[in-house]
Amino acid sequence: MKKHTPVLKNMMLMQIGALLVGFVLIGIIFFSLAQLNIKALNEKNVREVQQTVKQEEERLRAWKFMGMDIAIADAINPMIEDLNLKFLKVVERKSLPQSLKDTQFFLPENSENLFEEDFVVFGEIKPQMSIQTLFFNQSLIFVLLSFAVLFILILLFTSKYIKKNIYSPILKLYNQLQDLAQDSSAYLSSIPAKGEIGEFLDNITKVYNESKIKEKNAVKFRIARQVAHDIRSPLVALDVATQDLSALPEDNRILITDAIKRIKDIANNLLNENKPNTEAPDFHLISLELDKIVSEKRLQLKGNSKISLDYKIEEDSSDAFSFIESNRLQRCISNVINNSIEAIEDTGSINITLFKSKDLKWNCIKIKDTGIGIPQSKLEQVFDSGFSYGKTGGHGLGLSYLKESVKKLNGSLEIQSKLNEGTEITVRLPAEKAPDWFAKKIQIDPNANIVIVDDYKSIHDIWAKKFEALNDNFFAGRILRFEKLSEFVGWLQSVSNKEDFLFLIDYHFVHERRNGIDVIEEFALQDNAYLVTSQFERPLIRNRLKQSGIKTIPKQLVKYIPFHFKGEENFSEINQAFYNSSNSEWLIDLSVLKGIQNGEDLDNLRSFLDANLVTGKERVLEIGFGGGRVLKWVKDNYPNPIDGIDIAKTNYLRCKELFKDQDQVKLLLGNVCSEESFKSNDYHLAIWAWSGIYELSYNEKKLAAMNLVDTIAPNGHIIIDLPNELKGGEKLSFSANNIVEQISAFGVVKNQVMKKEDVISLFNRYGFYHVDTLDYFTSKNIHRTQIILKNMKEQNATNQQKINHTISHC
Amino acid sequence: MKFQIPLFSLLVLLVHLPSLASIPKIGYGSSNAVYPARNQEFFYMGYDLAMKSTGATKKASTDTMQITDAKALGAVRSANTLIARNPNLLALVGFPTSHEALLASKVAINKDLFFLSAAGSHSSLATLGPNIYTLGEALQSSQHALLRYVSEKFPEQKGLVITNPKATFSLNQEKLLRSYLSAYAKVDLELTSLTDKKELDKTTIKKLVDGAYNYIILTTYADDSTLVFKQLVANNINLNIYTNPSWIVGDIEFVRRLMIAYAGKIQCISSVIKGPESKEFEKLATKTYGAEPATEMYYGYDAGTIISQVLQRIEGEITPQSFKAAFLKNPCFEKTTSGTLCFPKKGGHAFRSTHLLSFNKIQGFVPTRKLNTRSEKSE
Repeated sequence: MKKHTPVLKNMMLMQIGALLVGFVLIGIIFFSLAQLNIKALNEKNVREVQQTVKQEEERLRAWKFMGMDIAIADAINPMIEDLNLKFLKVVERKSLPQSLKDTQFFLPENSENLFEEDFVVFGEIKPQMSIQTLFFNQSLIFVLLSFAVLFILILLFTSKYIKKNIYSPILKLYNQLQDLAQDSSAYLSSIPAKGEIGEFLDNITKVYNESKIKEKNAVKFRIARQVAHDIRSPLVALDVATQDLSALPEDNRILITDAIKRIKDIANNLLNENKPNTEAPDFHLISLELDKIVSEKRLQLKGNSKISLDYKIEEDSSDAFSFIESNRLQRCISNVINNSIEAIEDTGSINITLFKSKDLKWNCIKIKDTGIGIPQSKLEQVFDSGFSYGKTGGHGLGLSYLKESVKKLNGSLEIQSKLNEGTEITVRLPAEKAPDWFAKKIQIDPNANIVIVDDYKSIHDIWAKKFEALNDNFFAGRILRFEKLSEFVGWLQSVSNKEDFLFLIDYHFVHERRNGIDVIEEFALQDNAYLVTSQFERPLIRNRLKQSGIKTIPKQLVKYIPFHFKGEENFSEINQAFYNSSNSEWLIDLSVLKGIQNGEDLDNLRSFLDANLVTGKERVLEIGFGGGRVLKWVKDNYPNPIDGIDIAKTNYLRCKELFKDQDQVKLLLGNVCSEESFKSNDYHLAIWAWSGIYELSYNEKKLAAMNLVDTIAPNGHIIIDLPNELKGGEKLSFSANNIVEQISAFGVVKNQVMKKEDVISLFNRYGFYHVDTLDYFTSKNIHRTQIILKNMKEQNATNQQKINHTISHC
Repeated sequence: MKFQIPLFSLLVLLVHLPSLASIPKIGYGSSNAVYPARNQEFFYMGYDLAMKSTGATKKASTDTMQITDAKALGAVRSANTLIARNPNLLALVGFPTSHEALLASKVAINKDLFFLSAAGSHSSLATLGPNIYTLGEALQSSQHALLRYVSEKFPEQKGLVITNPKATFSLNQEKLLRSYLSAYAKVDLELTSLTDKKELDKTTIKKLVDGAYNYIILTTYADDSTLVFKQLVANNINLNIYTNPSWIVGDIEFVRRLMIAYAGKIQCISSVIKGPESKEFEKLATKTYGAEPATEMYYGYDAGTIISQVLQRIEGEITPQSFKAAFLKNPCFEKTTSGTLCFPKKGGHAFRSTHLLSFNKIQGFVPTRKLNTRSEKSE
């Protein structure tokens, strides 16, 4: 192998070299300047000392000539001290040293030849330039020294900085590339680095890894294309052959068609899966994308009963649109699910949930598994390229690819995991507004009949299940099914009241000239028809939907798109007004019921009825518990409101016994009964009495309601009692609320107050036909209405049979 | 005719040139290194008066070199100059202070010349050999006399000695006092030096005020003592002060005002210059210069008188050797201001008697008592 020049190493060595040179240079400069300064200062000091000594010099020499050494010593010693001299003495000129130091001097400099002996005053100053002086008294030295220190610090810092931010990361890359030379199938792992170097390394890693992936994918695609081609050729023959399968029984024909379609799908899938990703982000329905992946994964898990895969779209989230690359997202989510599958050691579950963020700005995909989990210490690394946990042979590309993809789509990622409990990954994608042609909900009139047109039986089955799921199979007997478009068109031509139907029509029909959109447009069914198709993403179809104003339901999402009953939206306001009302004339004296409950004051009760509850024709006795103030009373006395219902039932039976001889008395459980009902033992349910269970859960209410129906009105007459007009809070009463509660108990609507007509309409959905309406007056002379309904379940079943029969003969 | 007079003059000059060149010279030198030039002039005036009045100038002329740059080696330069420009120099004379005498005498020794200081008192001058003499009194004698006097007057009492560390004469006194002190058991001396400003330091003043001393010995020249006196007057000190011989020789006018203001006695142990023997000189000097002679002039006159008498004694050729021989033949000389003055043959100071002199503002220092010294006896 060629030996490369170690550039980076050399750079580091050069840095160190520069550091050393800097040290030496600064040392030399410092030393030189110090020396210059010392010399200059010494010379200056010598001159100053000379000036002082010169004043005494002749006297000292004179004394020397005189031999007055003691006097000289007495004179010199103070001078040595005062002038800070090393020494000062009078010597013969000839005894002076050959070369003097900077600090030495003698006076006089020139000889006068006064005597044969030529005396001079010879002295030496103490070096004045201490290191301390250099540091603190010489600004130049100080500044120089500061710069020197700064220079060294900068060099040290830059050396460390270069090593950390350039040398080490690039060396790591170099080493990785060296390793890759040995194993060409491996990938580059992420190298942590900052700034441009970080970006540079990320780009290199990304480009390298992507080229690797592309290379591998290209190979796979070539193989896949060959296989797909090989499969498709015989498929064409099969396809032609299936054009004439009418001789076969329908089940067999469908089986073969499905099988061929499945093989086609496999072939297409084989190609699509391995096709190099050149897709640009586009407007996609996330719920549908997830459905595709889940379907694929379910297929993958077929035969593996130990792992359950659940996909759920939260309420109002089926219209989750985002700009994505479909293939990329599918691959990402597929990878995550694969990871989840691999993380489940034996049995476990994978839950995929699509929901919108509270601010509706994000579409969130949550994939939660009950696998082995990931340790907290590893969580930060899971999105790094090359990191793999708990898998043998994993490349660690799945999550890094996911991270990169989500980043590309301006989304975000969140991962939570607990060891041995599981992992939860949430992908957040920017939400886009659903297009107008997309049906967020299926608007439906409770009185309407349903018409489903699709050439696939499986779709009919899905619709059937969806409608059956409605309470009490509300639309049972009112659903018409067509598998051929031409048959549907023929039937439609004979229908005059098309507005009484809801049409759910497929787009493409085999052997049909027209498609669903053509028919909807032709018969102007836009207001009460939905196009149900799996091809809605095709630009051609989208354009037509936009132009025609037809709404569409993706076939794959049929089970997720919720129903919306027309008129529901009006309930909320009325309901709120009702709750605010405390006007309860009906129950003004019902406290006496406490006595009745205990078997007391029956006489008083009778008197009360005689005096107050007079409608003109009949006298009515209410037995039951109401809302508002009564509700409080119930709560205070009956911790479990269901007990109150039992008491109402008991009281009803007791009253029935009590008033059995008084024909003119209407005995009501709650407030609704009729004499005729008593006589025929066809008891009516007093819905009003249920307000005592107002705070129960839905299931508890339903249970209580069913209990009453079963025990008191098994044959199904229900009389609704409510005010004549429900226009606002001032005239509302408990009765109206009870109706709502009742309806709620059946799971159709919740906490809604409706107009009389709406109530009647609603009850029709349950199979009750409107029998009669009875108006009467309360003790306060308030006009009220009883709506008498008849349970028509049996009748409905008969009608459905008739419809089916009709369809089958069309 | 017009040219005859200059030619004649030139002829006369040429005839006398050899004789002018051969006239022996006496070199008179001085410097104002320690003594003011004004006072130096008084010495020379006395010398010149003696030389001229005795007719010595006929036998030898005098070349003078008075240095006035106040430098310490001025005396040396003066002596060297005189020697350099007078190859037939007989003697070096003048150099009246101890400082000058010590330096110039060294030059004289090197050149083997006769040297006579007009007033140098330094004790070392007695040790430099038979060519070196001084008219100044021997400090050894006056210092012994001083110690003996204070020993008797202030037995066991503490005296303060004030010296000027920059004056040779003062330092010489200090040295002598130190060396002689052991011989005087009752004398208790404490030495202090003048500051650079020629003042007493604060500590010394405080001790003086506190009465730590009983008398003061002043070794400094009068002109160096001005500020000391000022301090003493300012602090009301009234101790006896004993000055040195320079106060008799030199000018005390610098300090006279303060001396009068001083409350204590001011006395001096020194030889007596002015006396009956000096009357004739004083008349001559007054006649010649029109004023009474200064003290320095007495010493100068004595130097000129001695040089004159030595020249008179020489019968043959006047050379340095014959000059020295003539001196040593009889080292006693008459008609000086002190009468007859004798020198030791080995060289040194003239023999003088020591007196106690007291200062009064009318007459100055007046002898009050003659003191005998141990050295005097030994001499």
